[in-house]
Amino acid sequence: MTKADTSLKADLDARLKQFSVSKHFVTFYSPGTFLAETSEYPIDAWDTAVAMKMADRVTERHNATPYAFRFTTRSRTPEDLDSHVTATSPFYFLGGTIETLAEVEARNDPKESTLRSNMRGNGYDRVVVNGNSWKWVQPLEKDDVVLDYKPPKKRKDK
Amino acid sequence: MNLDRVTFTGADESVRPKDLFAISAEWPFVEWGILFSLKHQGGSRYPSQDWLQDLILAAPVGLNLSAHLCGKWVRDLVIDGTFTWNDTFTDPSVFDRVQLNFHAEPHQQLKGFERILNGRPIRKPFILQCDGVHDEFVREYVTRSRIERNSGRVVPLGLGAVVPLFDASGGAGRVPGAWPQAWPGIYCGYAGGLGPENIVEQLERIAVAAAGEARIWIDMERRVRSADDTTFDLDKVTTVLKLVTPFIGRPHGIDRVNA
Repeated sequence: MTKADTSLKADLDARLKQFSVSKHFVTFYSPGTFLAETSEYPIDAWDTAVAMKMADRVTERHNATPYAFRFTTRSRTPEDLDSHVTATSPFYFLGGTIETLAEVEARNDPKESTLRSNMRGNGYDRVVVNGNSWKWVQPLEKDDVVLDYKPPKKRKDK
Repeated sequence: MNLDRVTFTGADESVRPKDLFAISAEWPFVEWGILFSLKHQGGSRYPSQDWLQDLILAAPVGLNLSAHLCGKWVRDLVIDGTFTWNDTFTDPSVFDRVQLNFHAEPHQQLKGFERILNGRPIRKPFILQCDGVHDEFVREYVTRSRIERNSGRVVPLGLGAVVPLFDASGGAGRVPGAWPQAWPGIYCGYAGGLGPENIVEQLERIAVAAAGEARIWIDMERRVRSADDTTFDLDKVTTVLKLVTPFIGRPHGIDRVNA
């Protein structure tokens, strides 16, 4: 490789670096039959206040509305053929009640036998019970956050 | 072994939904496995839309139903990551569990299902056939949540679970030489060649494989049909139920023998 070639390559690399991109997204999670329904939108920053306002406008099938959201950042460098997730936030729950395994067990509700079994079997100590639309129960992990959130009374379709 | 559910798969036009309700009323631990195939719906073992509608509209509270998906419904989910059965079926919410029938056909790519499991919390259990072909994948996902949680990573798995159905014959209805050991702490299903003529003997063998507190269910299909395979035989179903009732809901097998 000649000096000129080396210089050209360095110049090209510097230009390509300018094409490295990162973009933030927020994914809203709503109750589904077997799996949570999800909708993903771009967002300027990992801003929970903005995401909470966006959540007010999200409606999935069967009028399911978000119980939680999570931020991700996707990035792509010139070396990457496609972008990939480079950072993921914990879950931010849009309100909800935290219940411990001990509380669920003490209640001993026959309708909650599967919940008790799943909590015990999977080692989940705490769950969040959310009723923004359809009831949804999800494990609360160490870094997850339950936000002070009240769903709007009337919702607009997406 | 703690047997708490008995699944009969393949109810179809040869029986009326209300006949199933009557059996469930007497034996509430029964689960009806309903087969779904885009290609075969309306034929033997795969009830028609009208029959399904009758079932759904009249289903009493507490009726246990599982949807057993075959063919394209499975391929869409495990390869493409699109849950087309759930998105198109009238009322998937009546089903408590979804089973993916691989029929021992190698699915080279399970990336779609992997993507779903990584991205969307599960509400109700998915049953995956351990048919000797996909066992490694099933085992990985059954145990994954614990492994990753212990490493401090966030895993978006919900309370629903991925559970294994040990069916070494891949749905061909053959009794295995040895039943697989139950996975510790995991709800496991056992299937393959079970029927009224062998259920007690096989449950005694399963109890050895699923010793201690292991919570399990059993599933049968071929051997509760008529000899010519045209009819879902409710007499055979009730015969099985009478035979398995002593095994239900309490420890059984080697623990009890030792006690």
